[in-house]
Amino acid sequence: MPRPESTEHLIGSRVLRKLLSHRAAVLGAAITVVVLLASVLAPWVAPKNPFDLDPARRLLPPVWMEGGTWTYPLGTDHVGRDILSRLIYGSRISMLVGLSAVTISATIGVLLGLISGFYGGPIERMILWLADVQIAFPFYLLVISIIAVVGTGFGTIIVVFGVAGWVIYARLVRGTVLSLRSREFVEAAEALGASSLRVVVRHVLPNVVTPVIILATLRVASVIVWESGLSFLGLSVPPPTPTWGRMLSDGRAYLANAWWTATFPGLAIMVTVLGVNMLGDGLRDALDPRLELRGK
Amino acid sequence: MRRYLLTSVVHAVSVTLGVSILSFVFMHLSGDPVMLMLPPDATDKQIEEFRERMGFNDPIPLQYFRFLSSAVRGDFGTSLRHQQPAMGLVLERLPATLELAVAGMGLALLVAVPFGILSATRRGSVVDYLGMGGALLGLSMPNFWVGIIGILIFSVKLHLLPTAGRGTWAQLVLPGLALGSYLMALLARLTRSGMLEVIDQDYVRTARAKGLPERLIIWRHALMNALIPLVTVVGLQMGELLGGTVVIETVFAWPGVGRLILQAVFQRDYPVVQAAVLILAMIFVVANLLVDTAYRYLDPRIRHA
Repeated sequence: MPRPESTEHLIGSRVLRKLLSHRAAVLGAAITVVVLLASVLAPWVAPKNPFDLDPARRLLPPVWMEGGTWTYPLGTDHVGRDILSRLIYGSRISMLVGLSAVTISATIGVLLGLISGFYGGPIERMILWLADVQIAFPFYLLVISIIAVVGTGFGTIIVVFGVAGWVIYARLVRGTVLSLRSREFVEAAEALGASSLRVVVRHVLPNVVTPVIILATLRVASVIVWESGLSFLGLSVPPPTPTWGRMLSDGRAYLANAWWTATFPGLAIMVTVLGVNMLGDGLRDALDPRLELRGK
Repeated sequence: MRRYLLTSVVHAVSVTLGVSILSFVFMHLSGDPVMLMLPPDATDKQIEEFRERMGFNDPIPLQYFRFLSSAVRGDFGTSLRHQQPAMGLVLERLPATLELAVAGMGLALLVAVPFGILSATRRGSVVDYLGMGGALLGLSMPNFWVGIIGILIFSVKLHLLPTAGRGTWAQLVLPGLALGSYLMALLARLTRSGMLEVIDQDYVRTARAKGLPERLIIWRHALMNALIPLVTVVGLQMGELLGGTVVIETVFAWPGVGRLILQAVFQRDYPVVQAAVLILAMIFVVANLLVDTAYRYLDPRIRHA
């Protein structure tokens, strides 16, 4: 006798169908996948070495302009490096920082949110106060004042963004836990003598996963923008590693005669962020139509 | 209302205390705060003398209370670079930053609210699609890129607006737009969704049934109610706006606190970073307190609760 389809399987296929019928979500997912693939496969898909300087070919225009060539489809920068290859390599930093920082923030935030929502009392008050204090710092300023002390670098940026971003997850999870605590299935589990840890892991955690995934997706987009801002200011990963923010900052000086140097990196950030945001919005609609997250 | 105000002020004070603790902790993150306050070429003798003079050999709680009591008096130490009180340097540049933040906020509201209303009242029209498409792009563009593209189009190509500096109205337009671009997009979306929610309410239908002119219905009955949630968002986004000044002031050579912070970070002038960040955080806390109070005042359902 064939096994009946599990509920989880049914829900999974419903979500997938809904996501696939959401045009914006499909486009967002496609953009995100392309950027992810570009970042993973950079050494194979980048047409040139992103570090190769060629002063004789500096500020070459894109291929469709007079003087442009297919060797450098998007032109070259102020020291003759291929802009397309640098964009492809630059996606590595954006994606890695975005995904790693969000993973750290979500882990800390979910843990603190579960603790404060489930145990309450002084621990909860302490966590909420800490969240209020941290929110009082405008995010950029919080990050910059930490970087001013500990310095910059790839690992530092990830850790700083990761640790500084927990509040929004903790608040979301705490809210969800509070609404779950009075639900019958949690009360039943408690009445049956399940330990607090078991109740949290078996009954509460699975219910917070969905809102956290949606929030985390939207936050990847925010972190990409913040990282590009820090890169632009020279406070992110040090040179010569290509980052979109630094490419923009380098290109600023050549706006008058080489608009492409600052335009393409900005477009890369915009398209990626747009893609991730559309995917996040689509996930929200597919996974939980009642949920209203503002993305910030 | 009085009780609410008292609770809010107590909360704001406790958050402020927390901000000072966090700020103090940051200073110790490097392991040795003395290294943040002396030039890198300081001799061992100078370091030890400074450590003793500033009390860095004392127990940490004592150091914190000393830091707090100085901070309350507005004393954040002397700028290593400028040899002036750090607080004075920040206050000198604060008006420029506030001017920019107000311009960003003002321009965002000025553009977003009419677009939001138009999109909601003409749902599905070209205006709606253009407005909301623009808003989606606005949410995805880094503000400094908006600034650079603005310079490229309006300064380099069209010669309409200056590229940098402060002093004239024209110089405020591009940095204000760039700083407010994200908020503009966010508020346009919120105004639209707020209006759509309100437009179907019974009291709007009643106003229509009474034969009130459409303009009056939209402005008096619908918009006033749709704007209430916007107030909270404006308060919360004030932090983004203040933080954003660091980048925008750099793009437009705007002589404000944001640029001062960045210069101080590069010059390892930590007292200035600390003073500037704390002042901006304080402004954010006070602004949120005011916004929360305004929100309660605006919404009679909460005011009379």
